[in-house]
This record gives sequence, C-alpha cells and structure tokens, in this order.
Amino acid sequence: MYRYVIKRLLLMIPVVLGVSFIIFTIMYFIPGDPASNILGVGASPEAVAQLNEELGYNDPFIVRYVNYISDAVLHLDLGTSYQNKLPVTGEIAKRLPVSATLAFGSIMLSLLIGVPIGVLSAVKQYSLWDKIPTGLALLVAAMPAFIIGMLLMLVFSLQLGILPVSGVTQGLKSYILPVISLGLPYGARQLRFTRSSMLETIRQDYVRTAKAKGASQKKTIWGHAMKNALMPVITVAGTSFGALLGGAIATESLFGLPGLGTYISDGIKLKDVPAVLGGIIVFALLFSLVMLAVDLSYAFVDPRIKARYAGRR
Amino acid sequence: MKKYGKSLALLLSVILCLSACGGSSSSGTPAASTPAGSAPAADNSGRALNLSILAALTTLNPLNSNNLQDTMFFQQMNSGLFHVNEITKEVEPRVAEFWTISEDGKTYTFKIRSNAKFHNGDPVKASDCVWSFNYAMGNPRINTYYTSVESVEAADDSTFIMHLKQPNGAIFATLSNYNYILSEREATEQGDSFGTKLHTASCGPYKLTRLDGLDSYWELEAFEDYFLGAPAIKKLTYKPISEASAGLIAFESGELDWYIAPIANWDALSANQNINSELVPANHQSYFIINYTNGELKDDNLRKAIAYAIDKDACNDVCYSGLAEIAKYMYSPAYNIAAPEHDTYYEYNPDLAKEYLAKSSMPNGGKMSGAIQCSAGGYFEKMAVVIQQNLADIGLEVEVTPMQSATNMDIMRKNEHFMGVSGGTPTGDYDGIRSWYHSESAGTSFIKFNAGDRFDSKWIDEMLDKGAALSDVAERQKIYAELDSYVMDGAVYLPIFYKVQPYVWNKDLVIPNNYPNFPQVAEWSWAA
Repeated sequence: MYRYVIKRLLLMIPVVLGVSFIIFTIMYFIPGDPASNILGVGASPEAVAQLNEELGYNDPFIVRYVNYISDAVLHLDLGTSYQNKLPVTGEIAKRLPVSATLAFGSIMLSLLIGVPIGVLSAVKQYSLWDKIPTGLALLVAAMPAFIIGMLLMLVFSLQLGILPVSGVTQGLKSYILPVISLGLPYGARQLRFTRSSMLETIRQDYVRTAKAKGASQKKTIWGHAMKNALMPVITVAGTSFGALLGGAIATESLFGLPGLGTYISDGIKLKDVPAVLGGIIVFALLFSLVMLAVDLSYAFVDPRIKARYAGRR
Repeated sequence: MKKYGKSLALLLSVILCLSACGGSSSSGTPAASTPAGSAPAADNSGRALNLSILAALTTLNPLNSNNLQDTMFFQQMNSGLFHVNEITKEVEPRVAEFWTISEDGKTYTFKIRSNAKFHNGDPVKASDCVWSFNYAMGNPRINTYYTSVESVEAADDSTFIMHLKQPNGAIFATLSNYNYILSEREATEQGDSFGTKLHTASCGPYKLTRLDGLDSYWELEAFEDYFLGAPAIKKLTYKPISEASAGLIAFESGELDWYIAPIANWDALSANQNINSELVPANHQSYFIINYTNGELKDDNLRKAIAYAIDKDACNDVCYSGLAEIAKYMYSPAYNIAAPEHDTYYEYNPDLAKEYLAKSSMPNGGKMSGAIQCSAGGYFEKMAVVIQQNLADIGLEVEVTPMQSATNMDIMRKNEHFMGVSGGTPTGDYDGIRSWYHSESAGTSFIKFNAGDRFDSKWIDEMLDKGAALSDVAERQKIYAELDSYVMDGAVYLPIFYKVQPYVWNKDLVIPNNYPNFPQVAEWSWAA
C-alpha cells in the first residue's frame, strides 16, 4: 500500500511538469503581451516596451520556463502577478480556502441529497418515489449553476433578505447560496449515478441470496448492496471535488467569491502568465492528490481491492 | 420516507441555523433585510455607505494604474494638486491652493495648502509632489499622460514648480486623474510592496482602514483632517461585483446603496419610486475601426460605403436599449474641452452606401477578405453582429471574430486587423485624441496614419501640437475641427455612440451631482 502511495506521489512530478509546460507554451503562443493589456489603448510604444521588459516578458521562451520552474521547485515561488504585482503563491494561498470551502460544501450537499434519494429511487423503481426525484433531478441537472444561483439570490436575498448576494465578509453565511447553487446540480447527477449503480447491485446474486436467507430490506440494502454500489458514487464525488477545487468560475464570479477559478480566468483574460501558471500547477497537484485519495478510499469500501494492495506489498 | 423527511428537515435546519448565526457582520454592510427604499433610520450619522466596483482592484497605488475601475475607487481616497470637474470642465484646486502660469505657458507654479495632510498625519510638502510626479513620469503604466512635462522641482516646502516641454492648454485635463500626491516617506518605506497592502500615504477625503485583499472587501473612513473639510458620510465599504445581475440584486436587497445598473433594467428601475435614478451621459465613446491599409479597405469609396451602411440606432437599440447618445464625433463635445463640432460625419444612409459601393472595388458586393474583430463578450460583440448585418444589407459579407482582449489588442496594434469594434474613455480634453491620431502613438493606436499615403500624418501631428499649445478654447476648437474633419473624411474611425451611466441609489442618499465617469463620494450625504 505504502509503495503504491509513494509511486503515485512520484508520478505527480511528471504530471505537474507536463501540465506546466503545456500551459506555458499555450500562453507563450497566444498573441498579445501583458503590457499592452495593462496600459490600455493610449499607451506609447515605449511605455509598452518598458513595462514588458520590467515584467521579464522579453526573455526567450526556454529561459522563462526554466527560471519559472526552478523558482517554483526550489523556493516554492510561483512568480509575481503581472497585473497587481502580488506574489502568486500568497494569492493562491488566500484563495484556496475559498474554493475548498465551496467545493467541499457543494460535494457534501450533493452527497446528502443524491445518495439517499438515489437509493430510494432504485429500491422503489417505477414508483412515484422513483419518478418524481428522477424527473426533478433531470430538471436540476439541466440547469446551469449560474441560473440556480440567480434564482436563489432572488428568493433568499431579494425577497427574504436573509442571505448576502456577494462577497465573503459574512463568514459561512456567505457560502450558503453558492454551495446550494453548485451542490444541487451535482446532487442531481449524484442521484442518477447512485440510482443506476444501486439498481445494478440489487440485481446481483448475492443480494438475492441475502434476501432469500431472510435478511430484512434495510439490512440487504444498507448492509450488503450499499458498499458495492458506492464505488461509482465515490468516483464521481471525488472527480467532482477535484475539479471544483480548481474553481467553479461561473459560481465564484456570480457570488463575488475570490476563489482560484476567478483568479485563473482573470489571468487568462489579461495574459497574466504567472497567475495562470501558478493557479493551474496548484490545481493539477490538488487534483492528483484528490484522485489518489479516491483510489485509496476504494480499499476501505471494497475488501477485494484492499487485499490486492496488500498482495502488492 | 419518514427517515428521508428527517434528513431533509435536518439539512434545512442546518441552513437556517447558518443563516441566523451569520447575522452580525464586522464588515459594516447594511442589514440585508433592510429593503431598498425603506424608511430611513432615525440617525444616519454613523451609517456606512456600501458601494461596489465592477472588478477587483489591481493596486492601491494610484500612480500605478490607469484602469477605469481602479480610478473610480482612487478618487475617494486620493487627491491631486488639481481636479477638472467632469461636468463644468472647470479646474478646481485640491492640494494646490492656487497656481500661476508663466507668460510663455511653460512653467506652472503651485502653492501647496498649509492644512493639507496625508492620512498618516504628515503635512503635504512640495517635496512629496516632486516625488509623486517623478514616480508617475517614470512609470510606464501612466507616464503617457506626462509626456508634456519636462521636469518638476520644489522651490520651498509649499511651492511646487512644473516645467513643460511646450505650452499645453490640455495639461490640466490630461493630468486630472493622474496627478495624485503621495507621501514620499511612507511610499518609499513600503518599497516594492507599496500598493499591495493597506497604506496611509494618500491625502484624499477618505482613509483606507481595512483591506481584505484587492479582490475582496475594503473599508474607508472619512478623513477628519481633509483640507476641504471632512466628508459628510463617515464610512464607506467597497467590494467588487463583476456580474451585473448580481450587483442589481445586491442593490435592490439593500446590500449596496449605489450602483451603475445594467442598462437592460433601466425602464423598470427608473419607474421605481422607492429608489433614485438618473441616466447620465458618460464620457465614453464606442467606435468602429476600418483599417485603410488592409486589402480592399484601401479603397476610399468602399470605406465610405461601409460608413454609411452602419445603422447607429440599431447598434444603440441592441447594445444600450436605445438609451445611449448617437455619436457624430470621436470625442463628445459635451464632456471634452475643445472638442469640435463639424459637418463631416456619417449617418445611416443605405442608398448612399450602395452608391459608394457601386463606385468601389467591390461594385457587386460579395465576401470581404477580412473580418470584424472585437473583444469577446460585452456589447462590442453585439455591435459587431449588428454591423455585420448592416453590411450584409448592402451586399457585403463579412465574418465576426470575437477574441480575448489581449489577443484583439495585439492584432490591432500590429496593424493586422481588417475591421473592428472598440471603445474608450477620453481624458476630458480633445488633446487626448493624440493617442489615436498622433504618429507617436502609431505603435499602439488602432489606425496608423503614417502607414500609407492616404493621410498626411505629419500634418496631423502638427495640428495636434498646434492645438495643444494654445490656451484659448475657441481657437483650439477651430484647429481641431479642421483636423477632425480631415480624419473623419477618411472613414477609418466611425464613432457609433456615447455610453450612458444608469445610476441608481438609495432614497436616503443625497447626491448633488452625478458625474459622467467618476463619482465624488465626498460630496454625498445621508438625508436628514
């Protein structure tokens, strides 16, 4: 198991290097320079050239890339933003908790909604307990989080006046609407995954055997079928969580949350190479770590996988 | 089902508990439960005014940005030697109590107010002005506004002298938003980090007291020692809200007290008796660009055909709900000193467009070799699509290519563009147009007048310099009218409309003047 974990951690090095190189190359070849963008229409060519020089934008491609990677690896220095001259590492450290809170809250909400209702749907297949939730899930999953967010704002901020529209100044209260608007569509997807996974599981021979041996419905579902049905659910939740750590750009933007997603997307618009690169490297690292955690969690759910890990040792 | 019901109830309880426990905010934001337009509180004296801008701040150093959103914020915290009133166009003294101009128009001597202080308590001295001007002149982010300034010096603690390279009648307007005075001591002490963290080096009406990051939340307090008297509203809060709809909901729910509303909502907002609203023409023009050096666009008749084919009203309807002001000239004479009026402009006339087309290199219309490019999103893209349709109506087929703003600008500056849509905020004086017309700006402006034989760029430069050297506005207007007619006749820049600012604000708030671009919160007060 430990060897497996170490191997996976070491694999993250080429992944991050590969991602950083690809992003760096893409940013390099996109037309436009940061100084022109920062200075605007009225700037003189001299001013543009001077600022590009100050930003280190005129160095050759490979020099810039090697400098960047060596600073990142040796000093954990992801550079300085072209736009606001703030260290990227510090900016990401400040934004990561915002994105993590949003991602964690949304995934937890999606699991709270999706798993129990998904199980109920599967167990009561073709009944109203199945048709109504799956119909609603289809509706919610088809709605972008952005639209759900607007509807929530209209109800909870404008009509009821109990939750803030924008910013993070009111602590956890500031996250309620963003978490719901992001968690609902994910919950709907989770419901559908849980339902189909559970349907497949409850048709397995061992479940039929358990029932035949007189196990109660509750024990059959929660004691026998659930663990096996959970595998795809964990995969979906893990992948979604990893992806959300990189920021839910539309939701962050709508609710004025200063997260990693808006940082990267603003950086792309302004050709702020250090900001984009730093944000994506951190995101790639986090995503790899979450995926590792997901893979390891299989062992706890499925004893066969645990045994396989043990065998490798 | 009972069990699921319980789970659902539990979830709802958690949400309700969280909403209840987050009730008190250290931010000073007004209670969100106070709807806009509700009865004013008995005592507004300590009430915070909640504001927003459309984007995160890029810096807190006012001499390190020419960004419009930054400037809207800087105006509350900073003060310069002087300020040009956006409505009256009068030059108003700020840190400088008065000034004199030498006979040759090249030396300006400013007397610093004896009661001018920085937020850190230090008195404002001429040496701070020298440091601030030199800093700005060496900073590529704003030194384009300082090209006329040759040098600055301090005669004594209260006398600051600015030497110009040549007389410049536009100097006050050009520097109006960029002549902020900062405390040399504090700015140099903070070194490279100045502008990235809280500071008290400014001398404007409001003092920054809290900063939760440049992209999150800021608080300001009235500066009681402000040389023009402490502002009536004692506390401001700011946060960036980039989504217009979210901002509007924040305003309507009472989370914001003032907002530049989405234009699409104007009819409903202006009819709402519970709020105040005013549609203010902004000093911001939107224009169409035809690159006369590229392909078939070298043909004057074709460019004129395009110019007459553009239905500015349709652009206005689609982009600004018909509420913007149709533009005849690049700079609105209403808001720019010495901006001329003349007879060379293009109005929608499809018949005339077809006549010019018949005389052009594409008499039968057809597919054009280039595209209309613009920054993706926003109204530029919509305008490009309207113009695409206008051109289709006279038989010209052209693609629209929206792209990231940095890419769009890069292509335009390399002179590789065909046609495009853009917009800009003038400095407040027609001389600002030199960044569009002057050959010195050829590396950055969208039309290079010195790139071919069609325009006499030397003459354009001379006219710009001649106009700037004069102080008599009428004389300047005459020169600029001749220059602007000449450029407009070439049909390369086609002004479409001047934007409007749909301001909405709380009924409790008294705003004596709504300025076209930069609100002056120090003038505002709460209703008694």
